[in-house]
Amino acid sequence: MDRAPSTTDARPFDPIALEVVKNALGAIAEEMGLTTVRSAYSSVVKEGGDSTAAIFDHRGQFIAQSMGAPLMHLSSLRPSLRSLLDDFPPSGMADGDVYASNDPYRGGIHSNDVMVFRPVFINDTLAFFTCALLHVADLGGMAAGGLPANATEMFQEGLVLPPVPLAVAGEPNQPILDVIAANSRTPEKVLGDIRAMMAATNLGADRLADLADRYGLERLHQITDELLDYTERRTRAGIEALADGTYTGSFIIDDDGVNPDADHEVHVALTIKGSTITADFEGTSPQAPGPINAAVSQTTSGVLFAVRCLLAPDIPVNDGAFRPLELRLPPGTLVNPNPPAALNARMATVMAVVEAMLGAFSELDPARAVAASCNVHVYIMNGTGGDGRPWAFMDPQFGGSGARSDRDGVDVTGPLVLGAGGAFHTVEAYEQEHPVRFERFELWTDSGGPGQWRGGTGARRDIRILADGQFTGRATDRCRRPPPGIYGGSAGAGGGWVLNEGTPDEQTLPAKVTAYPLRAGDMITMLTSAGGGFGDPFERDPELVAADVRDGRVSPEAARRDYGVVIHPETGEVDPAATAVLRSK
Amino acid sequence: MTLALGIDIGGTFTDVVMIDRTDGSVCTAKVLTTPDDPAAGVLEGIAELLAEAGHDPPEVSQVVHATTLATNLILERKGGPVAYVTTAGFGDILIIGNERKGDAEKYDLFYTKQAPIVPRRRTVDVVERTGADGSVVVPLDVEQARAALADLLAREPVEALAVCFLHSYANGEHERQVADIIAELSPDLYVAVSSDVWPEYRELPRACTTVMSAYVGPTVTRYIARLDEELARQEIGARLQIMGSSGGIISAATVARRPVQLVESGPAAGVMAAAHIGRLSGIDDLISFDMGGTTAKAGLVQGGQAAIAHEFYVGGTASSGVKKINTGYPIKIPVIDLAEVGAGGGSIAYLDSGGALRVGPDSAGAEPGPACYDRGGTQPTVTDADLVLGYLNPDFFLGGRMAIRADLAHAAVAELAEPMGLTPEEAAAGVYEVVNATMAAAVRVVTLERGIDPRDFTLLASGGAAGVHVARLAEEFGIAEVVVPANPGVGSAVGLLASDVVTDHVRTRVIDSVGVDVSAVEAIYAELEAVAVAEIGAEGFSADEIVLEREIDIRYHHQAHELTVPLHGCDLDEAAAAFNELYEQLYGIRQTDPVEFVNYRVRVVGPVPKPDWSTDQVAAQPPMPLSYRPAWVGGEMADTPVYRRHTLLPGPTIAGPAIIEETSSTVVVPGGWTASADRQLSLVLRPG
Repeated sequence: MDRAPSTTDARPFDPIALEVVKNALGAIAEEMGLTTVRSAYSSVVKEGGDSTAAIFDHRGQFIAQSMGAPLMHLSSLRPSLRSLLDDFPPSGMADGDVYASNDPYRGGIHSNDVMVFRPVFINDTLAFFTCALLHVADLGGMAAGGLPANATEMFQEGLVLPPVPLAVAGEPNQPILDVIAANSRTPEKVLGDIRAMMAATNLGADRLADLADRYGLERLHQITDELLDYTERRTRAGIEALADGTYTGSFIIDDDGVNPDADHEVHVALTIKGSTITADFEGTSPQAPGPINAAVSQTTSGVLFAVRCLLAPDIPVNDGAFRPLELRLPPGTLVNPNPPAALNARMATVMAVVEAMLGAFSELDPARAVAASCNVHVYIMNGTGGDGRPWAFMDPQFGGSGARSDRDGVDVTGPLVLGAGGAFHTVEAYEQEHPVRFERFELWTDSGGPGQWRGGTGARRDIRILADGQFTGRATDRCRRPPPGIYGGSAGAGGGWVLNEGTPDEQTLPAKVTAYPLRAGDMITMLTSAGGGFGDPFERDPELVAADVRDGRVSPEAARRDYGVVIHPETGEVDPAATAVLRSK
Repeated sequence: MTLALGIDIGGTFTDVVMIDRTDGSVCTAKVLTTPDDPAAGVLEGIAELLAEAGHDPPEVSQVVHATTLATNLILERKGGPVAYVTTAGFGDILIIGNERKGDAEKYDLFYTKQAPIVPRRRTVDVVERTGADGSVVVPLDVEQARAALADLLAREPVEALAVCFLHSYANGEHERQVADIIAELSPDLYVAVSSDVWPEYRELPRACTTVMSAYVGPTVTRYIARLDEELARQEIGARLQIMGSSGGIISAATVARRPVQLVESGPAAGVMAAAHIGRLSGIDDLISFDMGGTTAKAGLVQGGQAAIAHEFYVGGTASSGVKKINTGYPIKIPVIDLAEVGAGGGSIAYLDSGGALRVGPDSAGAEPGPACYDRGGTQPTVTDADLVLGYLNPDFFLGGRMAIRADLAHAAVAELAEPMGLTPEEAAAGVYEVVNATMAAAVRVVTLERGIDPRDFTLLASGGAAGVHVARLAEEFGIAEVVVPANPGVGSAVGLLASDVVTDHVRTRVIDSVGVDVSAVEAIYAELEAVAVAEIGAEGFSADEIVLEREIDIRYHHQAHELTVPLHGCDLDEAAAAFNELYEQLYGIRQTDPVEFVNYRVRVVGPVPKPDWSTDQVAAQPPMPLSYRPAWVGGEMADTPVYRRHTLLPGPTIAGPAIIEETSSTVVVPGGWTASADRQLSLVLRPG
């Protein structure tokens, strides 16, 4: 990736100022992020923290971000700012200007992820950019909330904003704000969200002016340059420690939202050479008709996420971390689609990028190999209450992660790249508010992919609806094709939805189902996909199998069938003789 | 019967403070903690103090204790084996947890969840179900429950059981029936029942609160009973009381029922001490800053009241140095709101692989301790840097009671300085700056990140090392007043004697504000207050001396989170208005949607007379420096005046740069700052 020319540095590297300024910038970004969350209207943001604040230098280099900011956001702010500077060169910018954009083909993610940028002038010099990104409540398109699983064009996903001025020299640009409001089902909320982001960028500008006062702007820029060089240095040192070579990996997505039976493959050839990594996605499937395509920024985030798994976790995330990476993304594919491909269900491709990268790592170093994990599953139940008021709730859940070379996968947890959001929904809260009763939330027995190391189990959640209503399910792939195992390990169980399990009416619903009618008393069983296993299950320590049986992760029948381990029905102990016989076959 | 004793057992030292309520005089003792039998250290400290002051044990009328015992049991996973009894179909929620990962774990391919406190095999599924409105959906299957429990008790060694059923906050009948069955099967087992421990809705935090109570309960109750017996044997004239996490004193009986209330006992005492010292000095709005060996903590006192949170996490991993991304087990009880970062006197300074100077979160702790302790530590720590900078006096560490070696500190810091091309003093100044920047994060969390401007607050330091760093920290935020209390090293123990006896109760019931029946709400409070008043009555408070406080949790229709506001009488309209205002303060928008009432909170306070050690002494002349020594001021080592703290009396002001020393602490007054003593002999530092 390109890098800005480094300035001639008159002063020696200052390891103390570096650490203090790094802290100060992080604190400013964090305060900006909290300002956004506090002021935002969007409930996704308030409850899930789906927002990011970041600081860029005057050359558009990314230098700091709020805590917990997802790479998916950071990877988008970077190219989006560059697009902005193409259209509005810095020479024409003035203090008090604020811009917005969301164009997925110019650095963005999808319509609902809106970015706001403010150039920061210090003593009449363009010194920094403060930026915020959040998932706004609604920007139009064919589905409220902007996540239509059957979209085939970005135009169905909401209003597209190329870089546009929201304010000029401190004055709001009302016509643009009016256009945004006119394209939303919830105009007050969207304008509120945008005002929240503007407030955050303004606060960041004030705090940066204080910081520049303390150090002098020129010195501060020297230190931020040092910070990027430091990050690059540590990133390169980490890559250099890896063996040179080209490694390949791939992953197949099982559903694109429009064609439930179509396979789509992400393929990567990863070349490590000295201190650089090139990820070449030649061989990846053409862009899909459904919305699983990933904008370039999103593919980039998947690559960077995987690379960071190989490096020391305390290396900062800033422009320096991107410098040693080169991406080759063939146009017209899942990882670099041509407009107007739809992109709102990009997590399918982003997670496939991560899995393909992890697959390549396993060639590089089998000790770091990881079997495939779950993806996110979410459903919405809704209806109209006896009082005539509509009710609805959304309930996202995760499954198991893949087994590793020396340990089992993790049961019911966010897949690695998501890290799981802050959303924290409890059965008691749902039942207070809505006509539903939960009858089970357990680890899904026998779902974890058998292996010498077992995949993390998925979850099983039974939800009974107590009044007539509707069900909308979104299982983000890994249902028809469950998460595969590795090195002889078996696949984990694929996720899905079952209606009225164990009754004559039992029916399996499609992975992606919209507004399916339910009658009072119907029960939905949610099954979240489970991690793949690692290694031959007949090599698994029988004592670990016995512990899994005692803890309900594995049934005695599966212990026998999948692991060749016989558990004594009364003591729960391994029967060594019977096990030896089974395993010798 | 006029003496009050406060006892704070820390990792290294046990602090005992004694206040004579007749004249307000305060005396203190600091003895080494005796980890194998903490009571031994306590008794030694008490005996020392009583002998020194010429008093007899029966004269003691109050003993208040803070302990880290419960915290350590959880952190070190040393609680007894617990079984978990829950509604059939939900036996895995402790294992599933809240599906949340810390920032540092996000990129870890080898991430594993912590092993659960209760493994699945010690979980009992009971057939029963209560609905959200408290109605019974599936009656308790008594025979199934009895058989399952008997089977478990025969199969697994169990010391305690935690019982938590869905919606038991609305109707605890099934939980009580199961507790009775357990008592029949095995009468000696400790049983924690969620509807008794903390009947608030949200099953995971309620289950964790109950499980943690069962986990620490047997050990904690045994310990407290033993200490109480020892005090009686020594003829101490008072029963033991304990500092609870919420900053109120609780009885041993309450601890036995809800032992998880001890988890933040020590830190709560520290903030309560800060609040009281502020009150004596006429300061109502302050930030308490405590700097220990491995962590620094900040708390907030507004309008004289310590800020309270209603949920916290235990047993998780601190992430990015700040315990902010909440990992571990959620606990739902009132707790003093504290932010903690992994930086303190023992934090180790090092150059990372990219050449940046980093400090912490690794700490040399008490063993081997900083290099200057001469106990085998060779890595430079913050304490070593403070010594190299001339801020600490090697001949007067802990009042000269502990010998420390400046040459070892110097050698350790020199090794750090060499690759940076700096002098040891320059490198030490760098460590000082970096650790201050890290500790600033704790202050930032309780102020700026809660929408509060720290410049309106006083920064109040506690902990022996805080005085060296606090003025610099204040500069970072533009805070214009710093207070370092007398005897900051035993501050927490003072907090024990400056707190009231309290009892907290809660009930959950969702009630729509539209068409609300006020008398139904009043009935909930009346019921909670009757229980609370009886409880505090057992501590010797009569109805006319106690104070009743009501709070209510309110949320907008269909929002996930509620906020807590005060309730006066049963004026629900006023509370709803206060909720709208608080929502606007926190989230920046004015909402007018209808609200619903969710949780009802009652606190009953039994007031305790507070110590006051104000003096009328005044000095006409500023004190003379005891000596001068080279210290880092204004970017170089320069001869700096050193004062003994006891020579500074109310009246005169001394100008920085200066160093003020006393037995348990050192205060650095930067250039451009002044220092004076107030009537409580607290040092007050101001810039300009």
